[in-house]
Amino acid sequence: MVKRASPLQIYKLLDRSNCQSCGRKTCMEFVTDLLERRVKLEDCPENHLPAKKRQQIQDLIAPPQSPLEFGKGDRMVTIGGEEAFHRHDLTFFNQTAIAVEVYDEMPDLMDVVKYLDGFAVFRIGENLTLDAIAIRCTSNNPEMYAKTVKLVADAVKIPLILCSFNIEILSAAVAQIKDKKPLLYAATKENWKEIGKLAGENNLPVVCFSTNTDELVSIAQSLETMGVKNIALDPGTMIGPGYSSATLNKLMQIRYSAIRDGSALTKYPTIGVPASIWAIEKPKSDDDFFAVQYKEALAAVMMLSVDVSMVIIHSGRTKEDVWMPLALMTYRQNIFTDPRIYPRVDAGFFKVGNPNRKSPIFMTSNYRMTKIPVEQDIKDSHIDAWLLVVDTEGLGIEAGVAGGQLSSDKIAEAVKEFKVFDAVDHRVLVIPGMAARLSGAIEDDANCYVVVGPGDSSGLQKYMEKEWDLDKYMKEYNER
Amino acid sequence: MSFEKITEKLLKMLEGSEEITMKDFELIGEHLEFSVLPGIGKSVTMGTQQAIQQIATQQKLKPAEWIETKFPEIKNEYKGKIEEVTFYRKKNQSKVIIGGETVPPYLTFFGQKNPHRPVVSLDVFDYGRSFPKPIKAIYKDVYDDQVAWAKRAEKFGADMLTFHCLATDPLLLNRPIKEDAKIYEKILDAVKIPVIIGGSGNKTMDPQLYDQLGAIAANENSRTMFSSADKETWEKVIPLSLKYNQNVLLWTQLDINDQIKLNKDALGAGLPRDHTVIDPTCATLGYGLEYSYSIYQRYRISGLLGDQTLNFPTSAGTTNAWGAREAWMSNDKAPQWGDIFKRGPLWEVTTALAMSLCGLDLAMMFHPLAAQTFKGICMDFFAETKKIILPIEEWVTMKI
Ligand code: SF4
Repeated sequence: MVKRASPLQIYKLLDRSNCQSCGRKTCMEFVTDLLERRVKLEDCPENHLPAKKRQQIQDLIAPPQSPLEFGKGDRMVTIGGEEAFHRHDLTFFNQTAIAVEVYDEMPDLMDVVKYLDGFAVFRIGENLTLDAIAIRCTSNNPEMYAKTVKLVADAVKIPLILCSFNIEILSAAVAQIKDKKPLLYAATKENWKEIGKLAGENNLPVVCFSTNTDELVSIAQSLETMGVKNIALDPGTMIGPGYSSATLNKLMQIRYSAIRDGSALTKYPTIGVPASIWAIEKPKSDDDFFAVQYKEALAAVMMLSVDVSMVIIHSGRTKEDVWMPLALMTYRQNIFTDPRIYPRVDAGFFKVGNPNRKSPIFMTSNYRMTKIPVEQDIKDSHIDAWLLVVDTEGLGIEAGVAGGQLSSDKIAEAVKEFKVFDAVDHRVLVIPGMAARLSGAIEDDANCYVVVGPGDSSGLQKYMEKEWDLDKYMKEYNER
Repeated sequence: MSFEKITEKLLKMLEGSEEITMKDFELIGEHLEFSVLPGIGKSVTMGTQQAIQQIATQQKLKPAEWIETKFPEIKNEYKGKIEEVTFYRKKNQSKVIIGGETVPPYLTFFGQKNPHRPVVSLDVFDYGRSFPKPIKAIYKDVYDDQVAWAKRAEKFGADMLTFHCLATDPLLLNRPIKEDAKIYEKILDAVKIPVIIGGSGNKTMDPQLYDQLGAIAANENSRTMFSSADKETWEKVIPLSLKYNQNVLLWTQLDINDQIKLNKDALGAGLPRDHTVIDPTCATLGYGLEYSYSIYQRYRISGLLGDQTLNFPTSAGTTNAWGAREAWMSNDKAPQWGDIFKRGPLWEVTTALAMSLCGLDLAMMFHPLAAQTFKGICMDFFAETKKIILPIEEWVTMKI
């Protein structure tokens, strides 16, 4: 991996006045945040950081893969800019953008783009959205394309990608919406001069496309020499026996060369187009159609796995197809979690809503991915409850029970440590269904009445409505 | 000079001119306000950085010139090799080999190719339970007929099967091991592929299980695998594997130090390197998959770089994917996620593919569609590279 700049190298170039204009307490804090990309270099003002030193720092922190921005406003997206070869080497910074493609002659185009613009899935404390819409030109009519693109640009906030190999078509659209900073797709060996000029004159980013890697870097070098600043590489997405491996290998060659070896020839963000499978496979039946959707989805999964900077997909334009972007966005949420942050949350005894002395006590583990959804489910079900989070060394319930990190002793310990039953007028503990086998032992070790709750916290609401009966539980407890 | 003054000066300079070129120009200040078209009275505000960019790009582009460039050479730094582990039935009636990698998954540009694709073992449980709908649709009628279940799984194209003896857990059905042994024997009679022996996770029962079922496998001259031994059971399981000449899956939970220690302990107890498979735990998509992603990848990369404590083939239980609510929750309860028959299997195959791109040799899977899809992808990756270029650029103009 290319060596990272050391904090000290950067610190030496600052004026070390700790003036706090950047919103940080000290210059050193600024350096730490700068390396973590939580602050921009511009946040240290000119009078504290003259141009020459600024440039030196800029060069030091520049990642081996250059970042590329497109779109405007809140939803502007940054792709590329990675410096870790493997996720575990550091962390991946800019998550793979997911773009869905449409075309200018599409009958329900405006409805679709509005749907994509507003598409969101809420998962584990995060709102997952799409990043861009790629508009292809199938009308082959510059005027119509430009008009359509303008309509879309006025209707949505999500960044746009303009797709055509024809310079007249792209120019017409650029004239309409260049202030929205769209990404141009694509410059090829045939059209690179014209597309390069269009991109350069309008300061727009552009994707180079070629299935031949020598040709691909040649196009990029030609554009760069010409003065085009923001470039991405699409080595072509071919899927199927004998093709999938070629696709992966080209993407990985670019990755090794740019990020492991630091070559300037390949320093650009990469683009994958799983959507292109639909140009090759023409499904005839519903089953065929579904099979192609799966192939497309898994091509995208492959690309997310190797930190491709952006994927353009075809499926996902309708509510019916939601399962596909759902899986991709969920996977992306996983991969782009910072691996330096441990999955543990604090063990303890928490209020969810406004519990009183008769409210139920639910138990869960201190694995982040368990505790947060459980808490959310309790909230969503409008249950006022107490939540006992047991230290399972950051493992989920099932894994903890299997491995012994979640045992009756541990639970008894937690009950004692957090004085759990002092907060209520009962001695009932609701444990997750997956810990059912521990229930007898917990009753003995923690001197309480154990109720086995649902296997998944999404069932809590139903459980509270249909089964929860505090008086009955306490009666049984007292009779023992 | 105040900003007003600068603007005034600039405007004076701009009068009557349509274009400006600035040389050796330095901008200082956080914001600049240009009123470039006084006639229209529109003012443009922009940040310093943007202003500089804008001006820079108004410079003329250089003439277009084709720069013929060769893609940079990429050096191979991988000197290690993952061990090969063999599974077989009745000497050589059927045979599955995993491991043997010398480069990261599916890469060929280093001039080497890994010898074996990842293989799929389909689950056969020793009793039917309440499984998610897409699974139920396939196996419900054979929940109580493990032989028929095994035959069906073999037909789906599994490379191997895993017979999970959960019923032997005293906290579940507390079924005598003898009964599972009988079923195991019948399954072996009914299928040709190797059948892995899966424990219940009960630390006392599992070694007894491997003893009885291991004897059956050894008796017909087959080598399969005990799945699994962990830090509590390895001392009992390793001698049994030696006695019956079976492979062992060394299982830990997402903890590198635990895995290294367990590997060393097992090897120290005599487990041959070519009988060793490791399972660092496969978390599911959406619920911690990233930890498995990084751990499988670290093991594989360390192994390929020559680390002799981690260069073993890996196994992952992608069946775990069905624990994610996006996979199991029915259409009535979760209409916002789309059809369960699509999202369920996709959840599992995504988990498997993710692991395989990090370094996976054996996927223990549940849903046949997920298994077939995954196996298909692996075969696609392993097929001889085709020279013909597909007209993929046509996606730009396709009318769908
Ligand atoms: S603004 Fe610059 S000089 Fe001031 S504290 Fe921040 S980094 Fe230091």
